Amino acid sequence: MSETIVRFDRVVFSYDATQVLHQLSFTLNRGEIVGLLGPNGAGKSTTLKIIAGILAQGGGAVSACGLPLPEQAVSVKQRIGYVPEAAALFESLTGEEFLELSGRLHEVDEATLQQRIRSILETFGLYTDRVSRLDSYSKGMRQKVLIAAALLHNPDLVLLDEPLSGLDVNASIMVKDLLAALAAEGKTILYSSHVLDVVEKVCDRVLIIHQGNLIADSTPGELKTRTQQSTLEDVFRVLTNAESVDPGVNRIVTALRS
Amino acid sequence: MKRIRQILRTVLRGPEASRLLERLGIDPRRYWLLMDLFGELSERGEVMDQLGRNGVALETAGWLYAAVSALMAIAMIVSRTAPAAYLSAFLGLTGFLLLFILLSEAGNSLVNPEEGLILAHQPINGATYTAAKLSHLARIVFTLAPAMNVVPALGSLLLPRAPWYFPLFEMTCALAVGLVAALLSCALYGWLIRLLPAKRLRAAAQTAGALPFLSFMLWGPLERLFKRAAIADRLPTGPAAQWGMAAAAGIIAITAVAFGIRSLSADYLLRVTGIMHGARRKTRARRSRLFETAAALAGGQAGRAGWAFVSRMARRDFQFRRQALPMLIILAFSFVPLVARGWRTDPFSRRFTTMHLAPHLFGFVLFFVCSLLKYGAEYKGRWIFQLAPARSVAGFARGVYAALYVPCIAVPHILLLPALVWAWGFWNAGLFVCFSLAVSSIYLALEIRLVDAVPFTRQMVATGSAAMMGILMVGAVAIAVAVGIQYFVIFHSPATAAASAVVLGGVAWMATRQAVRGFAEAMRYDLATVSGEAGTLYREVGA
Repeated sequence: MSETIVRFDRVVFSYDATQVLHQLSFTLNRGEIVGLLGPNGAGKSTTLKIIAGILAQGGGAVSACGLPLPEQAVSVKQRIGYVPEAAALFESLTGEEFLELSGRLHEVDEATLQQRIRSILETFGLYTDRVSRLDSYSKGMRQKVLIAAALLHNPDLVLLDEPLSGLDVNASIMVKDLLAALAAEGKTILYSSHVLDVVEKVCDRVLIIHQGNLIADSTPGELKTRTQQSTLEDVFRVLTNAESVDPGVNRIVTALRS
Repeated sequence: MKRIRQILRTVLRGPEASRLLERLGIDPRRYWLLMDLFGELSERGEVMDQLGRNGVALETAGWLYAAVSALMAIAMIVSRTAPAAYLSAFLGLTGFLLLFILLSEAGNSLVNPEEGLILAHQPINGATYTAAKLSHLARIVFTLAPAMNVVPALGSLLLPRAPWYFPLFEMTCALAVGLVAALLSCALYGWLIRLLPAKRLRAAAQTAGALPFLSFMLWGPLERLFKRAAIADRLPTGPAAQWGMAAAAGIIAITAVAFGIRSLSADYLLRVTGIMHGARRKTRARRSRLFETAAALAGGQAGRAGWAFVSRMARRDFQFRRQALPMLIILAFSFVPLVARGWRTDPFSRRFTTMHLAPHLFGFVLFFVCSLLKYGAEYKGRWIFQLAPARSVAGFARGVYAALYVPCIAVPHILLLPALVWAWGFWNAGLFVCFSLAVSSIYLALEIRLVDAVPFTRQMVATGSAAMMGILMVGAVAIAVAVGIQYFVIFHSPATAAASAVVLGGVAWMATRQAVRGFAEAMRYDLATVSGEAGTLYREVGA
């Protein structure tokens, strides 16, 4: 039986009076790449933040890497890599300085850290830009730095929130290959995205959250069979009750004409 | 100096200091990493400038306070004040000013956790993070407490019956007062973080800066209340009982501070998202059709944009509210009672009325608003103005002017008029209101020149709260002079007052026209300068 890395047990979370997660339960096992899907506002980023130890759940139990959250948040953070969606950066630092900061906060020894930074920056094609400030980086370059920072300390669990955002085609392919290689090394990857064809190709299993509830937890193949759809995108539409053509589109066009 | 700094650095980062930090629950390795990071970010102008991390700002504030305390010391030495009263006065001033500055700085560090959001997923415990965030308070104390006391301490040797060790004693006491003020500031935010929901913290922090002043204002009434209730008579009178009560009060105070600081450090990074989310709560949309139409008449759609932008951002921008609210509370508590006391006394009655202060009160309020208006927490949103056509800037400037003039000058005067007509009669009240309107308008025309950028599009600077207290003191003197001229010259006869109102009205009209034009120019220049910097536009669009 595979080792459980993340356990979400009837987790409840609210922002003010709005309940975002309703008794959400799932597990992630070692070496899995799991896609986390859901419409906007479904609770995906909140779920990732709870696992990352940034938010405390209102009810239920969460554990990551065998440690309870939020009690052991600092120890959990030591073992996870997190790429937040639309993350802010210290823009006056250079790419290299930012990675050094991240690695040192995770107590990676200096020689290993420098060797990893060099290796990752070269692979991502950022080595020549390493001494430029982050405010001069393009969106894709910043995304690469965030991914690099999440991997530098060799985490057991990698949480990715729209990791391919802003990346060019070659970089996207490389990241996808990297995720597969990391999973083969025994790392667990939770991958949140709206790009469903990438999720379909990359992930072993898919969790779909809708209005704070888990509505699907299965492999992409099983989901397609069960819903008799040909793509994950269609499965998503069926499960989240989305209409084929949003009537809002017509409303916008009409408003622009007026 | 460099050598001393090196030695200090070696000692502070050495094994002994690290053991002490560990005993306090602080991870020394990460603490110094964060200290270096915050220092670097501050030096590069990225994070919100903090007084304790900005050497130039701290030095400026130090000189300002040294000058104020030197003047005070000269006055007290000349009047041959007793050493005990002399010491109390300076320690009181030190405690009051430091508490004012430290509360503001601590609040900004803790409830505006921009860096906290970036670092929240890093393995840093709450004690380490808050210690690194608040260490700059110590630098403020060790700079400003000596600056406020060094001249008075040396001057104390000229006091009658002052012992030779008095300067040393005063400096030691001043540092102790500063450290207590720093601990109290941290403890207060610790209690707030523990007791208040995260979403309310920012609002609470915005008013916390006014606490020292409010305590000062309430001291007298509370003392009178205690006297009237004869509480002292009901307490045991024996020396043992009094010592016991004093000890109990001391223990309670120390425990409260200790618990406050402990609350501050526990799971802080887990609350960061909640604190920031609190700032993003839903806001009830308020639309004032009448005022928006007035702004639109002044500047078309761009004028309406200027009005709506400034009036909404002034209510919602964290940095603006954090700086403006304490000052407005202080002004309200100091001036409004004075005006309320004197509104029945006709200014032409040859008796002094505190209503003479009214136009200057509006000027003072507008001074603070204008001096803060260009700064904002969301200053990176400036790019939107760079995409707007340049011709819209003039209308936008008129809208911003209207957003300041209508609520801060026009509406208060309209509200004041019926009460004054009832108390002083139609002509006297009308004349006074016209005079006050003209003076307030001149104030606004002069003060809007302080806004040399698009409102809310510049990062806050460290000197803010420290300089404000100094300006408050200097401004009070200037107002006293102006009020003297009003009382002794202008309001001696209705004819003089009417002539003054007409002349000042004309000056206000011309000054306003020029000021609004100048304000539009300043915004245009600011936007052009900004877009001229290589890479800046890209950074802002991408930010």
